[in-house]
Amino acid sequence: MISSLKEWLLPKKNAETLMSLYAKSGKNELLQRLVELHSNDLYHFLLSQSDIELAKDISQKTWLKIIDKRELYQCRGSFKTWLFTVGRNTLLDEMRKLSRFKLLFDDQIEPELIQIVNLDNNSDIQIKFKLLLKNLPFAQREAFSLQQEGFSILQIAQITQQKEQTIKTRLRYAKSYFKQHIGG
Amino acid sequence: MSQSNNNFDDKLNQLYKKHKSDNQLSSQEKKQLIAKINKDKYLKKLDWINTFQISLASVALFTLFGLLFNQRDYQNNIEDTVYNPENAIIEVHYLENNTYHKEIKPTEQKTKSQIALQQASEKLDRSQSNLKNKKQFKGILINKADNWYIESCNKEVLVQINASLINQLKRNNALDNNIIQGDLLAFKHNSNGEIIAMIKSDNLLQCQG
Repeated sequence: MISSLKEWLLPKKNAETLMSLYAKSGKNELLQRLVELHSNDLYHFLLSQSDIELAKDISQKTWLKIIDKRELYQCRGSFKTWLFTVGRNTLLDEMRKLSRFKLLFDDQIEPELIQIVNLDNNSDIQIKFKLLLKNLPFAQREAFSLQQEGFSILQIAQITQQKEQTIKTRLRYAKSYFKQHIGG
Repeated sequence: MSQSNNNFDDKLNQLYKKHKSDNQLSSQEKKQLIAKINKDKYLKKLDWINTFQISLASVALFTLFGLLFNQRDYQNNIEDTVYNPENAIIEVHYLENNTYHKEIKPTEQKTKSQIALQQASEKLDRSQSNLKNKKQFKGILINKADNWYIESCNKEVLVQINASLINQLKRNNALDNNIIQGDLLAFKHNSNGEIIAMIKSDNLLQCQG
């Protein structure tokens, strides 16, 4: 009863509407609702590309950039695509600063060439998946994670500023790699 | 083949979702994130305000300093150089009832002392004899208001020419146009020591001879 009343009073708005309203008004509660909606998605994506500390730090920096650049949001498509683009760029900048970035954007790393350590000893498929994801080359892991987040090939290409064909290749390699170890 | 691919995609998707649910921000961490964002936002705003205030204060100080400096410079130029010449006597040339007048005005310091007045008279005599010898007198226009002040090149005489005489010289076409402060001027005198023309000495960059 209370929740339905609350919904009636505060109808659910999608992220795009919330962001458009936030861009115009700068109201904190709108930002909070956006954080509620997408903070986990962003954090998990950043975590899969880095570590806990960096993922938390970059999450915070990304949201601050969203606040700073809110006027630029207008006429952009999906809010989540924009959020992830900002998040990814922030992460790459930070990795360059920390010299952690070994330019893993090597599309020629084929699944067979990826080294796996102690994978066969794990009977738990979830742990296996976690290790496989961690061992996946940066670019392939990025494309795979973004696809699992629900982005289309075109959106992944936009976020990563790559050609669609490159994304398709990365995804094919990533899937082949997973299939090789946990497929069937 | 396609069915098995779809099944594998679903399997991967399930594994990913599980991985995601195992690695989420707790509600406490979300609250902390929001708090940090708000805090940083506030600090950034403060930073901006501080930067703006400091910039504004700097501009204000700079402007104030500029105004003070200019005023002091102006005072130095006008009061110290024109009205209180240390070692010069003042020669005032003016027209009254179409009659040319020339007065010698010692500076204030010198009026206090008869000796100084005497010295001023001596200087005047010397400069007048110089004038007679040279026939031309040169000086630099140091202040151009209604009355003009022209300091002689040897800095011994400060000539004050009143507006009435300036107008008369203009009417006689005996005054160059476009004379500005800092210009070197040459005077022509008649036998009585009266100024009959003032010419801008363009070809002389500084007081010489």
